[in-house]
Amino acid sequence: MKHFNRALWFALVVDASRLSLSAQPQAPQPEPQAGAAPSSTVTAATVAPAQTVELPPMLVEESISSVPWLYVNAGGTEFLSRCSASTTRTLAEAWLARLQLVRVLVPEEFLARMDVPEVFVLYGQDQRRTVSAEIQRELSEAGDRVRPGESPRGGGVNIALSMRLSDRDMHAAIAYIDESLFDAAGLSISPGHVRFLLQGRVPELPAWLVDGLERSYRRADFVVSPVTLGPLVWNSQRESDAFGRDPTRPRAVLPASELFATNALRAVESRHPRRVETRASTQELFVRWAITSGDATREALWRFAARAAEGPVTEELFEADFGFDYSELRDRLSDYLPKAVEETKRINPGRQPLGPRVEVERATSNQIARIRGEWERLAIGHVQRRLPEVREPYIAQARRTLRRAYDAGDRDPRLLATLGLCEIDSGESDSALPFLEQATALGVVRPRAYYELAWLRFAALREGMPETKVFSYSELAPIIQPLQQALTQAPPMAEVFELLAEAWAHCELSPNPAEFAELERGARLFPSRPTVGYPVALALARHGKPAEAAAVLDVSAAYAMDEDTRASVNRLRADLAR
Amino acid sequence: MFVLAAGILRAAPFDDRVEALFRPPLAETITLSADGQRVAYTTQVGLTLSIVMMDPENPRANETVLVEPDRTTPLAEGQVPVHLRFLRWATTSRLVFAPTERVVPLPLVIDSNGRSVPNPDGPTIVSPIMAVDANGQQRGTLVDASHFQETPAEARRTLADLLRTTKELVATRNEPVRWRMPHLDILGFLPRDREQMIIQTRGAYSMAAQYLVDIRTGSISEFGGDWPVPPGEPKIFDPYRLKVVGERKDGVHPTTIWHDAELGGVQRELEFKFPRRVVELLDWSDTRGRVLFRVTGGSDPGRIFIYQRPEDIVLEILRRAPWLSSEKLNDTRFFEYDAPDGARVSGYLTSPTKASLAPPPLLVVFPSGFPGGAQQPFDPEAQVFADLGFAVVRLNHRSVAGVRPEDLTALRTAVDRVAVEDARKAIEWLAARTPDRPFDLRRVVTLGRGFGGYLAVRALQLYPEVFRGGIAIDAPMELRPWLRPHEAGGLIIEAKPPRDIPAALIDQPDTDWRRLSVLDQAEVLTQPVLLLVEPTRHAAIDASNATLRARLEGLGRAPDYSEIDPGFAAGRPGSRAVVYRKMEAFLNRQIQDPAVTMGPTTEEK
Repeated sequence: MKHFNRALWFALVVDASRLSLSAQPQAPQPEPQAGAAPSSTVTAATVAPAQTVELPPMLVEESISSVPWLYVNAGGTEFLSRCSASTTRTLAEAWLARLQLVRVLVPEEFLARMDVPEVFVLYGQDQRRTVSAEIQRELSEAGDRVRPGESPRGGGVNIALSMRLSDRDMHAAIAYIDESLFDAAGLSISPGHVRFLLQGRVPELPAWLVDGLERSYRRADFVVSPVTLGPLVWNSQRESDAFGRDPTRPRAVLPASELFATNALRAVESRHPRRVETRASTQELFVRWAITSGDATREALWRFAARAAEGPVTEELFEADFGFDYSELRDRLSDYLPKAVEETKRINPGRQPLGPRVEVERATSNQIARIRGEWERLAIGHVQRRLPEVREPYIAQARRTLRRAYDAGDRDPRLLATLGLCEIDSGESDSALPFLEQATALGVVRPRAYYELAWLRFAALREGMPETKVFSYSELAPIIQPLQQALTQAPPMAEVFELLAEAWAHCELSPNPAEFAELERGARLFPSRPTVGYPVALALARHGKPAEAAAVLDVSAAYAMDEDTRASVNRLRADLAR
Repeated sequence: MFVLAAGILRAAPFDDRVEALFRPPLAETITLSADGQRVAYTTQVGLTLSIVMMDPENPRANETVLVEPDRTTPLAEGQVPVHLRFLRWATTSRLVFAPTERVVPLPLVIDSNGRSVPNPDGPTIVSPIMAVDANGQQRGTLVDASHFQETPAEARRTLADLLRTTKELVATRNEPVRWRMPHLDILGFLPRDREQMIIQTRGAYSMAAQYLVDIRTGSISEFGGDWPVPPGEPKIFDPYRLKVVGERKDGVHPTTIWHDAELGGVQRELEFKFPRRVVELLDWSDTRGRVLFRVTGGSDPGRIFIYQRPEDIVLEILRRAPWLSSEKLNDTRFFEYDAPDGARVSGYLTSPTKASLAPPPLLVVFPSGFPGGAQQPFDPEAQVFADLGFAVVRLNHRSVAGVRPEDLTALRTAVDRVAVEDARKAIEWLAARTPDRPFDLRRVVTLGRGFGGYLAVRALQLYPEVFRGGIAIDAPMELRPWLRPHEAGGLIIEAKPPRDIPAALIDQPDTDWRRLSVLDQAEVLTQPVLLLVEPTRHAAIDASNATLRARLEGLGRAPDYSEIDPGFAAGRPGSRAVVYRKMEAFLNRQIQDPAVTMGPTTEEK
């Protein structure tokens, strides 16, 4: 069975950006160019220009390189490194310490939590050898189809030296390190990565907070004097300087009722460049003001942020946390602005806990295959999206890496899950099924594996059946149970709740109280996603919970959705109101 | 010695604070140019009025011009500072403004019987209409009432007389020639040529006539048209569409009833952007792409914005009192609730940012009139008392938005009890409903001026267990002589007493004046009171305060008493600071620990 559309939608590469290494991490980094030796820190650059296709680096086969792989598992991250042991240890320690400092700015509960360890691949080999022979051949022999620097789309093709790719339940990074230049003291975590951590938080943080935090983070020093917020740049350096000369100059600060607008309202707000600029600047100003105005205000920010993640916020909620109203906030921000463009503010990180012990060891064949294979699997989705013409070599390489271990008898459930997901991402669902069944039977920690398995089973069950067909619980149990298992692992995935609700909506048996609660939890965790709220409401309504269903739809209605979904939501609300 | 030094050290910042709080805010008058690119607003420093012209997108190009650049001597004591009656951009680069008209009567003349009689000429009307370029250049008076000085028709006997100006006529005649000056009304600008201002003369000897005045040269020409006179407040006139577009309404909050759907929509949009605030649209560009508006409410003295509608941006162009740090202003909240009888009661609660007592004592301020105007969100006096550590409640009377028919009987017979009872209930309501802004129910004091001072004393008499002390400023202690000044001693003391209360409401044939009198119930005034009086301002007040002091002295509890100078009523900071320090000393004595028996009080020096 193939489910290309879904595989494409899943696209694996939910977030892809390149990573570079810089010795001067605080300075703005130019776009690293393929082939150039970037400087020494792990700093994500911005996404490449649209006309240039960035391909993930593909590591040469073990047989070609004699450099041994090293392995570190610490602080929720698995490092696989071809750098020296000392560089690997230093980098791992510095990376984990920097992550700890990020939590000074953003409390841990507001960052993504994933039970699947992050994967970090480090290499320092010749850049020419970062692309496997097969892919180099594919790129060079494609002729008219694809040539490096001249893609069929009219843009260039670059092999990124460093890159970060992510899936719904895990993320991975690969980084090139020039060990002769590497200085761990200068290492910083890129704003893009912080953004990923913020966006991955469940319940999802509102866009104003993610954007505001990311912009504040960009101005923060985590290296020389952590954590120090440099002067705010209001719209432009020129305008900021003007405030230094004249603190009374006119300024456009977004009113709080618009600053905290739901994405439904934001979707229809003016896109005038000045308005967009005003929004971005005000979001940063608010976050900065709240973080630097003392403990009480900072705590109020995080209380309010937690509420905002659970549903639309109101002025009353804001006032309950901050002690004053929306208009007062606008005034305070406006009055703070001339100060913010001048001041450098240090946030005392306090005594930081000791980092986890970092032990560098020789990687086993399982670790090499599993982690490399994971990275190569993630690359498939990215290539599929950016340059599908060269997808096949990436698929082949990922399969080669993973199957080599499998064929050697490795039955680690993590490897099996990756094998299954690799097949899913390659569009070969039938091949995926046995791997996923084995992995889940062994209790793998991989929420997406459970979801994919349930999806395949549900699709098979409904094949050829009318849309309104109701199934017995015993027919649906093989779908519901893996989904429930997925929900015991982090992160909770919206798709899991969607599918679970859909299954219950087609089930003749009513969920028990705990199962109802599980569905409602989904609506609470993803209030801004009508794709979750609507099926949950359907399931609740079908099983005699119209009031609860209506409550879920009331929350969903405040958020943006496409016209078809809104029509469905409105129809169901009308039915429930009768 | 140490105490004295500390007092001196403390006095200067307090005086500075009072001065800052009472300083006139910026932009009492403000206008936007037709293209929305320029703003002009007034600013008063001391007694000098200036106009600031600004380009909000390029604020470094601001220009400030004096309204009275020729004034070389400061205003005399009691002289009212000049204000503007007109301020508008004629074009993008030329501003027209006019100070309030001054009418200067000529000296009395002696008639044939040797008696002083009013001068048959004049009065002199000073009504300059001025203009200035946006860069501060080309400033001058375009026209004044003197340009239209007239003589009676019969004074011109010959063709030569008709060709002479009034001044020439007066100069060439041996006998006196009567003359008068008309008032000048500014009607607007010609839409097809905004460099032509339309004015109208009113008064003097002639019928009203309209003229065009060139705003560049000041040249005057006859205007054949019959240009409509724009209606004044409360109507709002759109000078570009030449129609009335709305009307201001008083109430608890000022509101605007818009007849124009577009402006009504703008009002709603801005109220969404500034919830819980009063948004007042002040002016707009000819396309309405730019709308000038003011936001008041909360603790802030107010801010002025331009709503840039195509961009959907609200540009804050100025704070009305930028010299006041918003961080140091005490939090002020509006409140309103339905009294048990259904009446709407409202007011403001100002909570001290820094209170020396926790919870802070409460000062209840009665409005000075009845029903009077609504309390303003920002009140310098409330800020002064909050600075001194008091929570301050300023009440609106229940009838501030209009007297309910069902309240009439109670108000006619017991206006004092209705108001004081509302205050007592408001205290209870606030204590129960605003736990985040606490105050000490055992330390409640009260204050009022005029009729409000009367209510403050009545509150002490009616609920001594609630109110521990009070201050009455220029307050009548007996309503009848205050409401009927012509009866006092059989002489008309003042044709129009300075009061804001409809006498007819209280002064009924069957009014029980004794029941309303502070004096007649002096024996129940057991709580301390500070009487502050500006002598000779109002005889009835002087007399009733003197009587109250005598009666209380007779009862062995002489009240605190102090005379205040006219500067207090005029809001002069120096006078205010002196009086506030007296008030503070008095109030502090009343809010000492209620569980502690107070010893004999000493007179405040």
